[in-house]
Amino acid sequence: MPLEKAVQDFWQKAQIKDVSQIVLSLKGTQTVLKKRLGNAPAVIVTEGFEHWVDMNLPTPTQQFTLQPKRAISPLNPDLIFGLHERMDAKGNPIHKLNEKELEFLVSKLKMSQVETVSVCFLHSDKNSSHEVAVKKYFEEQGFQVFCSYETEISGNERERWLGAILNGYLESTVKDQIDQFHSLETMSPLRDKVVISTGQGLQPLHSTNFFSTLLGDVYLHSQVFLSRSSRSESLFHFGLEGCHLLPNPKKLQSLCLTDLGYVSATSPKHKVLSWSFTQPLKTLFWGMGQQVKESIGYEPGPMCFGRGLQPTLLDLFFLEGLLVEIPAVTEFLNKKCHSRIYDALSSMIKDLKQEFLDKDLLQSTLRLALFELASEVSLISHPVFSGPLAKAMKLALEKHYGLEGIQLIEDFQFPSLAALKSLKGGSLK
Amino acid sequence: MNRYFSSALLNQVFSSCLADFHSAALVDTEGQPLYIKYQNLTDIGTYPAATATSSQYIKLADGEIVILNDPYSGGAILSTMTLIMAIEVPFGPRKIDITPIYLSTRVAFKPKTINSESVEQEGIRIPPTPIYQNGEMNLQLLQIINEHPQCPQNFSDSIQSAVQDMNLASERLKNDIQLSQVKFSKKNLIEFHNTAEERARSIVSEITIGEALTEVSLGNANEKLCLKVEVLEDKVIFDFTKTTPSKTLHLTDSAVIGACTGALLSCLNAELPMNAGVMRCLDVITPKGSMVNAKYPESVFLGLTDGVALVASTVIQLIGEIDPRRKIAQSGFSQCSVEVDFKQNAHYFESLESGVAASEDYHGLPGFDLWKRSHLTPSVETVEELLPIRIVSTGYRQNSGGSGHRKGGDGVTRIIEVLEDGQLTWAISPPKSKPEGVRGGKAASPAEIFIQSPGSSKEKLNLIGTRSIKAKDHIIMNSAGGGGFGELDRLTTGETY
Repeated sequence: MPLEKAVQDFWQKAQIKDVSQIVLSLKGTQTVLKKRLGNAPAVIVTEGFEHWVDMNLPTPTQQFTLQPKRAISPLNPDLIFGLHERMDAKGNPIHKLNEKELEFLVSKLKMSQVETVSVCFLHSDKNSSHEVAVKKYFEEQGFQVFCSYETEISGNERERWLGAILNGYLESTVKDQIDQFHSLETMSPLRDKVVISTGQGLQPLHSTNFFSTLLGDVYLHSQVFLSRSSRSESLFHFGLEGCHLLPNPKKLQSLCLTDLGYVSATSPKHKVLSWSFTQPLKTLFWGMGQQVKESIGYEPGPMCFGRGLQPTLLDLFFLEGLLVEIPAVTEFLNKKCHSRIYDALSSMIKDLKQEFLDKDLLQSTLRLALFELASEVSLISHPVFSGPLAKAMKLALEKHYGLEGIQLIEDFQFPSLAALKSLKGGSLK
Repeated sequence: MNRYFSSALLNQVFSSCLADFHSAALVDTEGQPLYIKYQNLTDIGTYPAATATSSQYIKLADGEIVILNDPYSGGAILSTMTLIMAIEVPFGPRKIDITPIYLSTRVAFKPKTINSESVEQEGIRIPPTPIYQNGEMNLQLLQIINEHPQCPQNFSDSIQSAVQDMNLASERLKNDIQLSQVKFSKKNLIEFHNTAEERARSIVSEITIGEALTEVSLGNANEKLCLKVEVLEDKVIFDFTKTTPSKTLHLTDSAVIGACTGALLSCLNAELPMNAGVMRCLDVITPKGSMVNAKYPESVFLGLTDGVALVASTVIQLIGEIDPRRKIAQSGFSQCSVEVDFKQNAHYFESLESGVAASEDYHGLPGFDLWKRSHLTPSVETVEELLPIRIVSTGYRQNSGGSGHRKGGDGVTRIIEVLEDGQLTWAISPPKSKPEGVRGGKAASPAEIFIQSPGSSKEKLNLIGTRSIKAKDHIIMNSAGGGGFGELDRLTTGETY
């Protein structure tokens, strides 16, 4: 459905009359980062450390392999420049900046038509003067500049540098998403009322921390939870794609784990679960269909939508009849897919020396898929579930693992703006 | 319950239990590993050996913990402590319905000495010793170890923290087994091992049947690593008969088992858990007294680091000869290690990762240790805050990978300036030959280490040694690249293999 129509429909259904503020949470940032759809900024680092970011990229595989791979870098190696500057471990300058070198860099970047620069120097958390000076110089030349000292100081250089780099990387695509929203007919008259949800809270558009928009939904969920929670509870949010856990919504964390490693960024304490409804099933070591880490999303999507070719976790829920009362997915379900999905599950176990009945195969595959999550939930004394697929998950865990006492938030009421907590000093106040 | 389903579920239980550990294992009372979460090759073979040795001498009750680091009792290098806890898992309502297993984990400290004549010089050596009994730490014992001159820094706090983690893991394991509804009886554990073995054999059987052998000279004419690999229908035999003793490289037999297993698994391109069932697909023959089955008091640091990488690299070369589909060039295997001891116990240790070999379909990855699972290098800022050194530069060593149709991965180069006088010790393990290319691919650059004092030219160091170093001296480390695969202009000449 086009965005314009979706917003108009929402406006009509909700019968919105007066608007004091619009909070925008951008899910697209996650997709941009995951699929590497951003724009590599020019990166200026302390000379001698041009490869340092790439050298520390994590490897996705946890097993010994002769063809290892690192996470795909967001950087363009032709746009990484070392600058002759250096601070010592106490923040004392060892090598000072040279304006001629900056001049040369500016001309090089202009020739490459680069507009965004990330500045990453060692020990800038102790003495940011070099980064500040370079930022000022480049801004005067018309560049958009992000510095590592501007990210959370809690991290070491790897985490701070990634923060500055990812702000540069995501800048244009986040701005594009906001512009697209602003250009909608319904939204145009309300542009000055829009704020962005980030991991650190609500921010006006002009001073948005672009990387932090990735954590906007975590912040919003924590706010909803805090406004209703009177006990020490943990919130599991089951979205249509990703799922996360807020073990203690009052606490904050200063590092965000991404597939590029830890990035300096504050947000409510949370854990992104390694479970997603669009994870496909493949035959793994034990001969059973089990989910693999990478989700396939909704294009083409699960088999129960009539388009996908690989069975996913959502398909297992479909076969179990757990999606019947879930408005977010019901209209997309193709009720004729049952036998196709069962055939796909059966073909996964063809090498096994023991037979399964269809019903047992479904039960076993679903129990295997749910175990890790069930284990996580069973450790928590007062688990609360929210999200479009929360009800289905609650039923599944009750049935297959006997987990009782899970509370459900069906009515996700956002608190008033006055009630929103700000982030200060390590916790939500 | 279908046995494939119950085995897969048990595997998930084990994986969840060890999720928060960097390196850990669950082993049954027969010494058969149920699940090994390994960080390196040595972990794979030594976890079961450590558990078997300690249970032979010490009977542990539920929750009790033993500590050891002796490599000749199944430990790893002496700077790595192994902790082993007994867990009694109930599977029925009666008091006797209990299956005991062992949870083992490791606490790694910075290695101290890399050139030594005897294992006793490499650090404090601890045989299997109870450290946690009746719900209490043996603080007196911890204190005694702490006061030993070779004891690592922060020993006591790190061990106590690890014990807390083990207690949590034990509770989680019991909770998860109950949640899974799999009866945790000895009979079901045997079925788990047998199912794993059946599945592993079906994967190993994809390797072409055949045999290959090689001799690797360590630079000294009398020192040879001899290996014959025989691939049978669903099993692989690694025969090290004729391997000689060595003056520099000494490996324990359990570490060699780990090296062979890890190397074999890396050739399979399939995700396999590490357990006894999988390990039953190999036999490893190591003659006593040779470098691959060293005896006390031989020093083991180089053997259990570079030595296991050399064994793994040799295994891969031979499997590539037996099954040409799995042929790759040679990766750099020496860690290129340095350590500097300063006054007041400040100690700097560094080892650089080598380039990875190229294969038929892939260029080699630069600066990557094939045999380590955690690749996070220490933060430059943190190192400079803690020690009197400045890291001048660190990056990929340009053009050190072997050229070819597929280029070998570049090694790493690092320049360090020492800010105070100290004692430098370094090691590049033998053999000193370059990592070879294959099928026309070129060899890579070997590892090398230099010293440069202000105003002087660079001085290349021997492979292994120790000397004093002055403030403002620079240490320049270059790790090896990976060998190239195929001739550079293969596409234009139309040659095929």
